Amino acid sequence: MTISEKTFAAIKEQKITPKPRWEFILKDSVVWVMFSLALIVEGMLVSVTIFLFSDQDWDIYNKLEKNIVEYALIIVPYFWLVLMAIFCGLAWLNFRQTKKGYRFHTYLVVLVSGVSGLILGTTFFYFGLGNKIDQLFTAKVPYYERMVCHKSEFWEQPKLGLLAGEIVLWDGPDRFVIKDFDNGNEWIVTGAQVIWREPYQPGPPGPRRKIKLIGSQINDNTFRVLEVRPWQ
Amino acid sequence: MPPISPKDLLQKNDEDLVKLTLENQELYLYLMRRYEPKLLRYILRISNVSEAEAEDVLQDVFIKAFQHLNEFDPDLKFSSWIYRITRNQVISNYRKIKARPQTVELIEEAGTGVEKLLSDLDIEEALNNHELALEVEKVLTAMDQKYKEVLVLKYLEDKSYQEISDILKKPLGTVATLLNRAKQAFKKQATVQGVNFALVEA
Repeated sequence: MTISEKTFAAIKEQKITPKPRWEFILKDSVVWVMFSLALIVEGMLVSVTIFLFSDQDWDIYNKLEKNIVEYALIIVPYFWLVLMAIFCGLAWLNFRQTKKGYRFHTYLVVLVSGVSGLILGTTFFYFGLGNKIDQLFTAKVPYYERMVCHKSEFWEQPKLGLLAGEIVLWDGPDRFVIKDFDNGNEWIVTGAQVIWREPYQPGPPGPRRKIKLIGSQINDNTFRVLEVRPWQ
Repeated sequence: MPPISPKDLLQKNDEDLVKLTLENQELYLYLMRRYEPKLLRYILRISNVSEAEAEDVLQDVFIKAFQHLNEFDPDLKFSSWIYRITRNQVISNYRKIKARPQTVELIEEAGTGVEKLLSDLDIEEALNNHELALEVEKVLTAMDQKYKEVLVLKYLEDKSYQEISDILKKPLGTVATLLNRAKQAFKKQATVQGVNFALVEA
């Protein structure tokens, strides 16, 4: 009796049958869904990263007594970058499990997954998802604030000439009162020919208008302003 | 469906036979018969198990392939698909029994595969067929598994790059690189083993 005949007899005896096609289709679909999910999450992570980078002011490193490289190293959102790398890896792993995934080189899959994540992430960022995710994590995830550098860390240093808060009293573009975000202290802000950056124009303050100020601290409640920027 | 004569079945290609087997499972015997000698030889070449163990492995391969027939992708060659299952089964069997190398005749006679391997390596055949087969076998047995299996597939199983890529589940470029390294490793191993090949000077 040949091996084929023995096997055939065993198949009959044990009543072995081919597994149904839907099982394999389901398995394949699950892999593709996991791959797509990994890409979507990667896109969301990219959108937060873009948001965190774009939310920083790249020209204030001098005020912080740092050079541009030191400043960049501080504001890099390592937390999100690590998550991005993990999900990029997950996307690759899932793609490898697809029927023909093995035919593509790792670097090509990672590149395509990275570029797709970037395109998705930019789209999500455009629709404000990055900001929303960051706010959600700030509110709900313990220690998140410590892990990610937000602009508020730089703008709560009046001694270094950086202050942020909400306008509470308006006397004109060169004289107004703000309540700072750090302690809620009120500051009399004065200046001459103050530069107001777009898109925020000088004018009567609406309720809760938030701004950033570059200038110098005069005393405990007075700040001389040179430039005003919108908080967002 | 009208009955198909055994003669017609023998003329069908593998992929058609798979479709027919899914309709009539009795026909699986024809597929198994086609691959029995090839796969048994392949198992022996890549695994270092005894012939009896190789037969058990082959039986498992055939059963697994039968259970997964609906998973077969007609974009692949059936032979690539079943060689892949065989390779996976050999690896799984190895993990299970932790097989120790045994003396198994990998290559009975130096056929065109061995000749092509040596010619690709610029090695002159200074030996008679049987001696040559023994020497090649000696070198292959001592080689790293990943190099050995790619040489076996290319030269002894006569598979194309695409087929090797589908069997090993590696990209084509990686297969080409692996094969180049395997050839270098073969030459190096031949020198280490003191195998009596006459290397052609470049």
